Amino acid sequence: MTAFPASSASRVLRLAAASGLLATMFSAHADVVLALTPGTATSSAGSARSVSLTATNLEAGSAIGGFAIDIAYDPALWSFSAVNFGALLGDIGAFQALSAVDASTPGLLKLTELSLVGAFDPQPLSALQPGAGTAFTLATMSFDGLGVGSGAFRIVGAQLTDAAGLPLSVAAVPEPSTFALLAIGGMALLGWQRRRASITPSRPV
Amino acid sequence: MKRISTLIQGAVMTAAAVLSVVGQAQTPTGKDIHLEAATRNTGGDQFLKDWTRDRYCMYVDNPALLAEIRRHTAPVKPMQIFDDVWFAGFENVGQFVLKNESGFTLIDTLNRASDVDTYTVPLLQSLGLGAQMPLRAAYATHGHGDHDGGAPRLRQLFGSAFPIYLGSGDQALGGVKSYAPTLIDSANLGYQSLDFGGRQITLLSSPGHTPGTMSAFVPVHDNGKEYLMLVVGGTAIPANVDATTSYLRSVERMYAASRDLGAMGTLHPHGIIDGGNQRMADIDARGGHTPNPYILGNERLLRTLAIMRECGAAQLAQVDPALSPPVWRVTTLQFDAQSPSTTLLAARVQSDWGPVTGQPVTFSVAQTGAACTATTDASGLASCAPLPTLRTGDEVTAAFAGETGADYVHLPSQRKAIVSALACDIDGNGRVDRNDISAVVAAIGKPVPAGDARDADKNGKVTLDDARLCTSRCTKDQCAL
Repeated sequence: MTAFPASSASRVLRLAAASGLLATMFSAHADVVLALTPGTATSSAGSARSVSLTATNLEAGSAIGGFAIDIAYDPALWSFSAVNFGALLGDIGAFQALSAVDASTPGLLKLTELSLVGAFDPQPLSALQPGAGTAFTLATMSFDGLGVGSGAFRIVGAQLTDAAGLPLSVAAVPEPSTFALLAIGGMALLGWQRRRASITPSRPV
Repeated sequence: MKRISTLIQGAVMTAAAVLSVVGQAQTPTGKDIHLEAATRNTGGDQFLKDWTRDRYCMYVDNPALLAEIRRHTAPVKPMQIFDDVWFAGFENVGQFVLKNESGFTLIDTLNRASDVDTYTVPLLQSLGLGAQMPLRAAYATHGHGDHDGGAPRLRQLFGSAFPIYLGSGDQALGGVKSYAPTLIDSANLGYQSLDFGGRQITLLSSPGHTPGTMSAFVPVHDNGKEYLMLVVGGTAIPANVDATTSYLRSVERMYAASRDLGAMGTLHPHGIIDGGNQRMADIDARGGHTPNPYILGNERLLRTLAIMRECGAAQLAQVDPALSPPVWRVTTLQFDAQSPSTTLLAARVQSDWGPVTGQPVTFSVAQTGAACTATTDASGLASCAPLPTLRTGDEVTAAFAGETGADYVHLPSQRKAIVSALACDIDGNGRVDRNDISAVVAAIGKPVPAGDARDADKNGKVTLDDARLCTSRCTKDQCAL
């Protein structure tokens, strides 16, 4: 285990706090956070890859009533093969939800699901979906590997509606590379502030 | 001449035979009437037909199915069916394991000692059985061996410090009960509250299947939310007048209690009867119990009990044709397609026998307390006039209190809806269902003319919001066809 000097430990804590703040700022005004797991994967011909699309309600008592989400992937690496929708907008097999899949454009997958579960159902959407802050699965997609390499799965479009038919604002969890860029930017900002402080003459007391 | 006479005799005999057949067809027995009522009360719900109707009524009309079911003795995989409830046992009978804050409780005890050793104890151990989480109590739904046969072994394993509850009417059923049951008064036909190992349950004595059959209302949790479930204490319908009458009255009290307490589904030790086995298979296939197939909702549970009641009435009419109680008819209440709106408050009452006519329907507004009562017309439609003050977003409840006729009972029904100006009947067939919702979804992103019903929120474009908005306008639950 590496021991940090006090000043270094403090810097790490500040960076962690800054990263957390950036992540919070990223979703500060969102109702829902979407994530793809994994965001990036390696492929080889004949391999199979499962990708999970999850959502996290951020508002207490809120629930997702429907979604239309576009997911981009590298068509040179992957071929879409199947999708299983989660059950927390209703059981599609029991006609509690409608769904649609459009994979007609290579490299772009359009998923749509609309819940038919009503406000007066014995298990309304707010009872089906977990509370604020807990992620749940909207869909699990399967891809077949075509080529060799590493590629990203990205959310490139998202419309969500709540149980009452009102639009939900969405934030996608940034990919690790985006987090790194944000962290570098934050560090640069801190460094610039420090340099500025060191060259600014202190006022006489 | 002789030939003509023969021909006339033949014609007379044929006519008599035809009249006889027609006469029989026109005068069905009480048993036939109630069996048909059980089928009609499914309301076209195939699950209720295949499980509830066919299996409760098999004691009257299908001994072959009964014999087949009794052969289904294979063990089933222990299954978590709620956050805090597991099922263990066999295809034809089992037990429920309830996990409470400070220990476990059991509903039924399986058939015999070896079942307890093979199924009950390993499941309890896997869930954390120990000094901090002991077995607190057990309750046998009745005193037949497939429900309390494992009780002596539980007593042997866990000592005398925990109660095993049994209806007092069954204390000597099949001989002396060696496990020293704690008796619940079977003669008390009211609600009996019980602290069941830290979980408050309500017992309801329901004699008929046996003198001490004890049903219960048990709170359970799914995704953290509480639901009340009815434990059906006894299933097989007896075949003598007194016991069958008792069974019938018990089912009627279970119906009334389920309505009063707001129960949402059944926990049945015989999962092969109420569809529990199919529900467990669904949970297993999906890998989770939410949405929970055991949660039927109060309306569908009441329909289930009305079917069960008609099976009991058919048996009573069979054992004594002079006794044929009034037929219970399940009614449904649906808002008219454009109602409730700020300008229309109308709902229709009907049963599988047709529209319910000349009956009052009360409409009440949750937010304001405003109310009005209208009478159903020849088509079963009740329309309020003059209208109470209605605002968009108000919650309206329409309620039909029920009706007793000479040979039937129309059961009560009610429905809630939100006041809105939405049309959403895209195909113009007078109701809103999933075909209409699909039509809205299909139009997302496409240009539509101003005022198009698919643009529900009237913002000039069709979006997912419009489709979801229209689901609130569906005539039936979950926009069913």
